[in-house]
Amino acid sequence: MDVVFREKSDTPQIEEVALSHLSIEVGHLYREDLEDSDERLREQFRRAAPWIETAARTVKSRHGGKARVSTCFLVDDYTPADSQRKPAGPPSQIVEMLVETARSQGFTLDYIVRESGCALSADKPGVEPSAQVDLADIVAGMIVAEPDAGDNGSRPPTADSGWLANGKRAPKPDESAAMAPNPWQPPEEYGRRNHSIFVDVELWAKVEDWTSGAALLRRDFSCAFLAAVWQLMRLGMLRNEGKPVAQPYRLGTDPNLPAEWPDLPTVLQVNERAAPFSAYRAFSLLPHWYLPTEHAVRHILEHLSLDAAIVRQIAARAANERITLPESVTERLGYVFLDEC
Amino acid sequence: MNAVAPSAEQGPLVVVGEIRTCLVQNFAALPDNFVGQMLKVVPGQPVYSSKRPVSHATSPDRLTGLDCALASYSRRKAHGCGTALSHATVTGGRILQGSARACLLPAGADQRRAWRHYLARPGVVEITTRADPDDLAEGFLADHGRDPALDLGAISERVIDEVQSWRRLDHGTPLRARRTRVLWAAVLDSEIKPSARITLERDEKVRTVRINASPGDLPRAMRFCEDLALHDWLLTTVSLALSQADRASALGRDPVELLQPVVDQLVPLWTPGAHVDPVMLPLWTGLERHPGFTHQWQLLVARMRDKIAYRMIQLRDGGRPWPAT
Repeated sequence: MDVVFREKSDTPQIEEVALSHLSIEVGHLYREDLEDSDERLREQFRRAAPWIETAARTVKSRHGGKARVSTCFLVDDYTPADSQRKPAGPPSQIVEMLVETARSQGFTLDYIVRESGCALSADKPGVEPSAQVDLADIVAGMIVAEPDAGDNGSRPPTADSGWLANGKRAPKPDESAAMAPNPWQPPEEYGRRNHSIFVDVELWAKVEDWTSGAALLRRDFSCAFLAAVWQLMRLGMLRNEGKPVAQPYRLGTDPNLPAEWPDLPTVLQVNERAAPFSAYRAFSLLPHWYLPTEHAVRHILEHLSLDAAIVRQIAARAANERITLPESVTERLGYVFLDEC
Repeated sequence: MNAVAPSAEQGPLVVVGEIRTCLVQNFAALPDNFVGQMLKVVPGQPVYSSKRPVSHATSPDRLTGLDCALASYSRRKAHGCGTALSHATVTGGRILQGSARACLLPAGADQRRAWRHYLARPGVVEITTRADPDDLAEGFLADHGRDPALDLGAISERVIDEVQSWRRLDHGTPLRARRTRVLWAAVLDSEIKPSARITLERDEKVRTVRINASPGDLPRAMRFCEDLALHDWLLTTVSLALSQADRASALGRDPVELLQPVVDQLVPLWTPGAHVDPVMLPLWTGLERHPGFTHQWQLLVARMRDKIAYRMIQLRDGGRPWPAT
């Protein structure tokens, strides 16, 4: 008689998240910019509106009238503990302003997301920081630095410095050799074609945090790094031990929002009938000064080792829906950088 | 597991790996929940664990970027670019292993590609030069990670160091043990007859394992090598403890305090093949026939118990000093 002994590990499976065809980011502003006057926001939405319509129409012409498209707005509220940001007005006021301004420009806003939720994330209002999911840490753990020629595994990777380069950094000129100083040498992009475009992005700064009474080393994340987390969130690529993270919290008809920003859930669903927040592809309508940030975001994304099981799961679901999906996540991102007129 | 599942049409391919085995730096064996926390080396990724017949946990895999020479037996120039996978395992809350591996595949191009190309193929090193699978496999085993070729041992060491730096370890050592190294190379081909060759190298801390198997057996072959490394480490450590005990008694010291922790903490961990897939069990059966791993183990354990028993009798009879034999 054959006997089979199996032991189920408590290892979780990768859960699925709902996916739209397209997620449209209609803007991204500082929390403070939203408080002084709504003029800046109105301008952003006025310029974005025709692109939203075009993007939605394109998706529907390709995938039929039932294609799922959702819109979102990112509020930059990331405030490292000791930074001097002015106190913010109540979230309910800003949520109402965003929803109303979108409506006045002819489109519906589906989701409002806070950027600090890309560092520590919560699915519900009022979650203690210790119970929130350290999303930035999860993404930081995916970074695989590009090897230099000759790297055979014996040297530790350099990613822990908080900087990520796409090439070999310029060597420091040897100033001690007074008689024959080494001349300046340029940095060099890995795999360059004739000439280099060298990029070195700051991911985080390590700072001493004294809030608990003793010095703890804390990472303050850069805007580019959190924006990379944000794009992965929109593409449904993140999980915590297999479980979905930053799932939208429905505001409902009777909004009873917390009075403080840190108590908000990461993703707030402000339209009851919205299509899913995450999507196979993500499209962003941003002021033109976000170009360097997004370049840095793409650079970070191209140095991440994404969970292979999630990548396979999303590819299989896309194939089921007859959607062609590029292998690389950066190719699933599209942008329009809006000019001032 | 992130292990690469190569397709059959690629022809024979080579997977090389190195496993380093040592003691968890803690005075007592660690409970399972501590092991689970200690092995969280990749945030957001689960630790895999099983409890029977002895508890065994594996950390999530991590990637290291590589662009380096590859050793070849014929000393032909070979070069590769890509990533190695590495993880740590803890058995019985006592034995820690760092295990790194890379699958060597012919590259489609002779130039290095964009980094995202390699990140989409975790654990694959693409060979940008011409190379023969056997030549690379034997070259890796003969080289012992000499500079400047691929050094998977250093990657395994780093995983071990990171796990050992977990803040709740007390860094106590109840017994003396050396770190051992197992280098393995598998040539995977659907046409090949499964076989294994295990060599104790002149450097007494190094063993090499050469495996021929079919491509689908890669994760099982790796697991077999980790299991082999663990049991080989147990034999090495118990032999060391016995020779230390002999030296202690020659000097008139009590050998029991050296042997007791070994009997208590290591003897229950001898379960060869328990975490190995049935497909690989014939390899263990072969090892049991020659050199007879479990037979050796039983002899060593019996010697330890004899020494302890003899000392007990001595103490009963008035605690005369240990005779210097």
